[in-house]
Amino acid sequence: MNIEILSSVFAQLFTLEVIVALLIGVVGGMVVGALPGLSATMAVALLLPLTFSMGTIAGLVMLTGLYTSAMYGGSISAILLHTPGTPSSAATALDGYEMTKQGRGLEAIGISTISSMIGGVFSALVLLFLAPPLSLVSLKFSEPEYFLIAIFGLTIISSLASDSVVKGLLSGVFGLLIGLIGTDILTGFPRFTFGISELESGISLVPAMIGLFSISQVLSQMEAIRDAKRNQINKVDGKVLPSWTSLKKIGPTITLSSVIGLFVGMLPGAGGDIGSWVGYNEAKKLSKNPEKFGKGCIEGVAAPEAANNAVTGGALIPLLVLGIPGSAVTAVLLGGLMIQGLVPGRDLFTVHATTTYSVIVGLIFANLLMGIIGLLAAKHIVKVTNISFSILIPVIIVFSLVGSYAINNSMFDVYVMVFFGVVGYLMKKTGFHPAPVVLAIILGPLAEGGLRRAMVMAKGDFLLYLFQRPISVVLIIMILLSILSPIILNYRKKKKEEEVAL
Amino acid sequence: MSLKLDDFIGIIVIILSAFLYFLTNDLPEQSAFFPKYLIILFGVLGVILFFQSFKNKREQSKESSFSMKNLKDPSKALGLLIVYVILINLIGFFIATTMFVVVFMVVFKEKSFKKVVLTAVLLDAFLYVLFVYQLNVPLP
Repeated sequence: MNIEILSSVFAQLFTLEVIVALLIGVVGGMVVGALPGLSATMAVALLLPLTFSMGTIAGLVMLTGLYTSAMYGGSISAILLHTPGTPSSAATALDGYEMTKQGRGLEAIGISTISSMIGGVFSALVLLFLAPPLSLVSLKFSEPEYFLIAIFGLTIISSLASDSVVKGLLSGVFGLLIGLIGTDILTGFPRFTFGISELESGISLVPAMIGLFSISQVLSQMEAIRDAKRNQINKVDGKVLPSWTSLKKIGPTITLSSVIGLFVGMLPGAGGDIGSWVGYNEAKKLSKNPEKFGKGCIEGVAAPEAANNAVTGGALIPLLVLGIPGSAVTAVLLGGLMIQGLVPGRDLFTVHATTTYSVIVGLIFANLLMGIIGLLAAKHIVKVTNISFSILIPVIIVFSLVGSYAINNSMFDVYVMVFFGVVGYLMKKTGFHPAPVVLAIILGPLAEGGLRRAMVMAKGDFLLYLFQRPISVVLIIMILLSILSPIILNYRKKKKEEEVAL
Repeated sequence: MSLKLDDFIGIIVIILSAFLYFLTNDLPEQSAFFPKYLIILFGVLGVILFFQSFKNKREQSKESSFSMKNLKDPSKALGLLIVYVILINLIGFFIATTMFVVVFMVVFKEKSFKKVVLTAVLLDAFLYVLFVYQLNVPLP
């Protein structure tokens, strides 16, 4: 990145539209994160239709800001209410809530805010400097590799997101089949449209996504709507700004956790929840007094929070470089990129350099802004958890509906949303996961196009052709590993359980 | 012999893939190539799921989540949503939305009258300003 790009990046970022979008993303993410039962995935999917009529940079900055801020927002309710707002903050609740009980709630919020901010800024900086050179890899890719990388993205998310590998792969293939609906681009022949003219342009991605992530989540929440009780907000005391001594104390923890979070984020399939637990456990292992963990020690708050925000920048690396999203949120973000006409790969860092760098620098600002707003307002944000679900759910349903409609001004898209809402809900109830379906709808056309063009390039034996290409061979091995390793791990776990049972 | 949930899903997948495979016969060879392999894979995975759950007799925890008690409120919400979508076509977006929000909150026992009215009015106003006025999206 040179000075010229840098100056245009700043010119792009400091416009009213981008700053407003950034604020909406950060505050919105905090609120959504703090509310147990509302996920970051759902929020990103709901805001996606809005980005349609916004500038590219403003829209993407809003979505990534929302993503990182929701990671942090979960810690507010974890610390003050002992109810993690997101799974990523479950580890934070251990020591955070202890601190609240000891009357140090605000101090815990301060530690969590500072750690989240540092973790987030660190990973965004690594993203800024590491992604461009890594994207050179994608230059070596041709049609067969595009096909294989799409398959790899699918197998990895399938094998990790569901109860069993078979169910994960079934969800993935189901999504690929959905992706087939519509006119075949190469021959112009309509496939699986059943004579419905609206289906000829294919299933629209955004309504399907809103249905699968947002409506299905709402329906799941409905099961518990009658048991919902008001959260008792504890009296919050203490000073929000951490003292210099405690900052020095958590410094090493934050550093280690940021690195851990970054690497966990880069791994496809592992997200904030895994990152924060690994961060917490490592901090405990390396601590001089591990017995203090779980009894309200500040390292126990700093470690998971630095880690889960560091996941965000890490997770964006494979997304921007190769187009492999490692989690449900990043799958939705990939949809957001595609809507703006941005295809992951080297082009993002050359042709669209200004846009891409603006979004990454925007992510750094989002993390800083999140820190400032968090320190000032976290104790007020926790009050949103008092809004009852009988108000939230109809509001979310109306937003889902308007969002699905607004993409193409079409009622048909609303029907699509309702249909996928029911499908997503039933899938969740039967041990499937909607994330592979969404990813498959996005990647399906890329995979098919890549495969068919690669077959033409192969001029004969396709498998032999693949094995002559080194990158293809590596990708095939990675695909096989991603399918086989969960099976082997499961088998070993079962065997161990049987041994214990004996 | 009672069928378990996963058996059932497996059977549905197998039937669905047979039906879809049949449909690919009408397509030109080039367009049918990728779908055919995909459908075969879908069917094979369905068969594996069926036999896996057939063999695993002890795992039965998931079924209990399909009890009437658990499904009652989600189905009510879904019913309201479907009626809402139909109403939009008949009487327009804003009237239907207002009715949906009010009815939903009353059905699910929001007691405060003030909150019900306030939510409906504020939501309508917000959507109007954002979509109709700001983004120029004509709502149905």
